Amino acid sequence: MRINKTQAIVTREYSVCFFLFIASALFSHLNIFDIAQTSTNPNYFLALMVLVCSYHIINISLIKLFIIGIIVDVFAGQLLGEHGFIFLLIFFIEHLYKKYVHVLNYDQNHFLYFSLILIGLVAQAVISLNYEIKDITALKFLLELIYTCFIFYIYRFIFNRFNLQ
Amino acid sequence: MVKKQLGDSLNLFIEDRFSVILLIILIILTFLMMSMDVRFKILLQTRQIVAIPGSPVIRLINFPQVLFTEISDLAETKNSLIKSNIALKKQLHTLTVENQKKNFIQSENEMLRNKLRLQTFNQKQNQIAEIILPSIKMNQNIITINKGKNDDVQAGALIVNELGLVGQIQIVFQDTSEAFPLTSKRFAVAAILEGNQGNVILHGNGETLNIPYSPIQEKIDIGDIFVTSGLAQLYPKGIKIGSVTNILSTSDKQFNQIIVTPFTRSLTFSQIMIFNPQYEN
Repeated sequence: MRINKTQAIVTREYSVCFFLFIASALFSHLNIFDIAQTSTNPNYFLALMVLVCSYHIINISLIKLFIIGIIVDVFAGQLLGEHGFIFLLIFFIEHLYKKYVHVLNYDQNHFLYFSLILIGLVAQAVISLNYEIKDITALKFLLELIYTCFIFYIYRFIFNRFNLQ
Repeated sequence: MVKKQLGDSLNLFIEDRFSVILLIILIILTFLMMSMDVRFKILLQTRQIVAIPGSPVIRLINFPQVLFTEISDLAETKNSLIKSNIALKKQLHTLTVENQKKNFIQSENEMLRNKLRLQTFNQKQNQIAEIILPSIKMNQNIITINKGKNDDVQAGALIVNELGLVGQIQIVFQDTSEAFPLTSKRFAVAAILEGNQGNVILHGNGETLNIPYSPIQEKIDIGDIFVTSGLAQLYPKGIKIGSVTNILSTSDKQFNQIIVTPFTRSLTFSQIMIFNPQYEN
């Protein structure tokens, strides 16, 4: 269901998203979560896009997601089109889920967030293995999933906090 | 009648902002872009042109270290400066003597090289640089160096420290460069065993280097040292790479897998030397 938002809400959403995008760009260059020297960090942009897609922020559309994906790839990606594909995929799955699961309660919403992050990371891992971009182990994948979920909930908290004020 | 009307307007998604055809087109486009990028390295070239977005981020994340260094310099007392001055003078005397020895060896070396007609490395193309942050980008280990196009750094240049080979530069921006560490999956280097003639290619596997298929008749033992072979005549021969730490059997009994552990680690804020791939005969 599409909700008509006032101009003030839209502006605030854009501001928060822009702030989170810049934060993601900055943090993706920092090795903050380096535990046991695994060099594994969350996928900040994936966490942000899951938030954007599931909350329908900034009137997100396929073209916008595609362009954002290209920007992310140019800025910090390893393969051109990788993030574009991942973002389009999570957008599509989010739509499918909301289309066929009519009653979205608290647990279902959390399942959706987790599924989207998992699918995004699996897609990224498949692309990485296919094009031999980086080495992926089960431990690294699991850590990345946990970290990305953690970052997603931080982003969600920040978004709700700013949006409710 | 009702059924017919429903059938005509039934779509996968009711909302007008979602078009399945557009989704399929965009997904095909992303696959095309990925394939093209793998083949033509479009992203590397694009990133070199569009280096502006990354530059402030790199400056920002290195700012604390720069600030710390500057404050440390300012906070140095007169006493400590005098002490370091005395220590540096002593070091200068020692280095002057060593330099005389080096000059003698260098002239001897040049003479021998001329007689043997060996390839010489253009020392003017070397330059000292420093490894800065970021050390990781989207979960991929990278080495960022504080020299770029402005300092005539070239893509493909080797980076070396006092222990041996550190990696190879892939992207050169205006002020910085990005390199893959030698353990990266995208890294491969022509090597030989120290004191041996057999050429091999060492591949990064994420954590170490390896030779996936080494013939069993090759005499390689644990502890043997690999150095650059200089086979492509781009880089000098004899830069230390790593030592053999494990020899594993493969599914094919005719071959072994050789695991080589590198001597170096790309420590942030450490000094390195860049070897640009330019030589003279």
